[in-house]
Amino acid sequence: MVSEKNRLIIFNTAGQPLGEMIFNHDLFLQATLYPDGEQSLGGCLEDWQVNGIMYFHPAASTRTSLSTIGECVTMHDPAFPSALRQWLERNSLYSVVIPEESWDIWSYIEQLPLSDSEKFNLVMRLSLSEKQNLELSKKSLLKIINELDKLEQEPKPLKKSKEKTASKKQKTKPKKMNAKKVKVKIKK
Amino acid sequence: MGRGWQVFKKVSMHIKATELEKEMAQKRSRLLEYSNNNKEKDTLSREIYSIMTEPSKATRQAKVKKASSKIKKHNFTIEGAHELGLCNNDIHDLISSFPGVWLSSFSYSNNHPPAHKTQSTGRQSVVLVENDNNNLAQVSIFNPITNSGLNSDVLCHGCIQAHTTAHYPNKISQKSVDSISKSINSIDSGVFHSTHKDNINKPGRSHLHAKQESEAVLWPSFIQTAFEAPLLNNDQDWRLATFNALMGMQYLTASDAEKIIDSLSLYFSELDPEADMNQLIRNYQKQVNLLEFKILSKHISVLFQEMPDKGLKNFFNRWIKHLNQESTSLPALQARVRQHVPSLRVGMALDDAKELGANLSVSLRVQATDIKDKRRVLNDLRSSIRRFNEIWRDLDKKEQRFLRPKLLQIVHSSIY
Repeated sequence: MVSEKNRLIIFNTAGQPLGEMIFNHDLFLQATLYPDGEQSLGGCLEDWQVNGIMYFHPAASTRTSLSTIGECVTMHDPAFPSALRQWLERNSLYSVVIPEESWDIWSYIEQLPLSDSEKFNLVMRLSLSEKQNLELSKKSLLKIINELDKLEQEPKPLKKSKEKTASKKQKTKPKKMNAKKVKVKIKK
Repeated sequence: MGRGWQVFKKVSMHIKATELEKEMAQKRSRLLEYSNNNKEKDTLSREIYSIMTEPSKATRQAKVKKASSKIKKHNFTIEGAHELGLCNNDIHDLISSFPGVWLSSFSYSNNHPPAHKTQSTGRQSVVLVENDNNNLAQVSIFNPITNSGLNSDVLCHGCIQAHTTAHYPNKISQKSVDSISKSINSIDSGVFHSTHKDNINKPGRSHLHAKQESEAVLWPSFIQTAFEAPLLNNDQDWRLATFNALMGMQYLTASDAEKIIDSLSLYFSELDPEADMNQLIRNYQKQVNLLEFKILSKHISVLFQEMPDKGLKNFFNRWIKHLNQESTSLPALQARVRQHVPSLRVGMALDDAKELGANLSVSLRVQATDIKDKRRVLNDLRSSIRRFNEIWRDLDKKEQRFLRPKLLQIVHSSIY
């Protein structure tokens, strides 16, 4: 079977990314939690590893109604992605799926000067577009990032400051607070 | 020579934060300018520009309220769903997976075919169902792509009013929903400790969250129990069958089980007051092969008629009669195990009796099988009994007297 990896990024209602999961078709491969996601998703992930996740699906129909059955499925079950989507909706969380060839789109979007909800909005719209549009979008993102980098590199006018800086350390830019990612691997 | 100490000047964090904000603001205005200049030729720039210049939350709220649809009395129709590219299955999946688990049974029809079907679009939509002034369920669907700021306001928690198709003209009233909710909540959550306490003990879980999750899981399981509870005969009422099935839960009392049954009765009668639930459930069980193939004690008692020994036959008949009466007053037999067996034939008889006991316990514990399984289990039991009969006939009276109490012990302990 041809490998088709997808990256599913989970967001809360404020657009903050909480974590991501990688699937190969319907097969779960690994999960990575961001610091914001550790508190909300960490416990659930452990629970799913041990007990499985509840999956509701339509059962056999009776006379004129359709009833729903809930069953626990493991993370290795092909129904896990569907169960996960149901769980996300029940818990007011959103997910965006990005194909393997466009995974760096999210890392480019993270570098843009947008708020969390705007970044979420953008990645959502891009994930729904056609593949060729994704490629074009990637190139456009790179152009935008280069433009913004040029802005940083433009010489700034000297400011008269009363405080004398004495240490080299103070001249360096503050480090970007990159999210510390926690990887969770599921043992097969 | 003195040591030189570097002098560190404290940099005010407030100033640093302000500088970062200024830098961010500069980059944002640069980005807005760039996307504005390129929005005509570049899709990404167009998207970024529209995102950065989105209207305020209040404006969005007003816009969405206008787009929400009304439900007609006998037709659960959502108009406008096609604009979001949603098909019937998407709507059903969305609503079925909602925290309002009262909606586990309904039918939905969308008279408008989707303009373009995108599975992921359906998955990302948010559905809100709420009552309007005329007591009709009002359904609204929001696409987070265009209404991202709204979502925390519109997500529905708790019960959802089910408004079903023309086959079920009535809906579940809020009064009934409250009554059901109150009834289920009055049951001590410790009763369902396997779903509730385990959830609480997980790190990062709150009591309320675990309880809500447990409730969300319990109600569909009660409905499933009602539909799958084994019916002893053609005349047994579904309520009694469900009661027997629920009493299998270790900590559930009879009064709690009755509360659940009453809630289920109310729920089903509100969905369709004219439905014959006994007929519905029997049809369902026939469909999924739950009926007809259960092994009953009457199937087994016929096999014991083949036993040559009148004493043993009477023992098994009394024992099966006791099981049918569901009495627990049988005294336990004294377990006096003698290691020494007088002959090889007695040893063989003992082994065969143990096998008979094992087959008996399997046949009686089989609750739901298909016809092949039933035949297989009964055939195994028939073979064990035939073998046992042959061995028993070969024993002399002294050996039979020695063996009799041990046989009773083996068979009795295999059941309990």
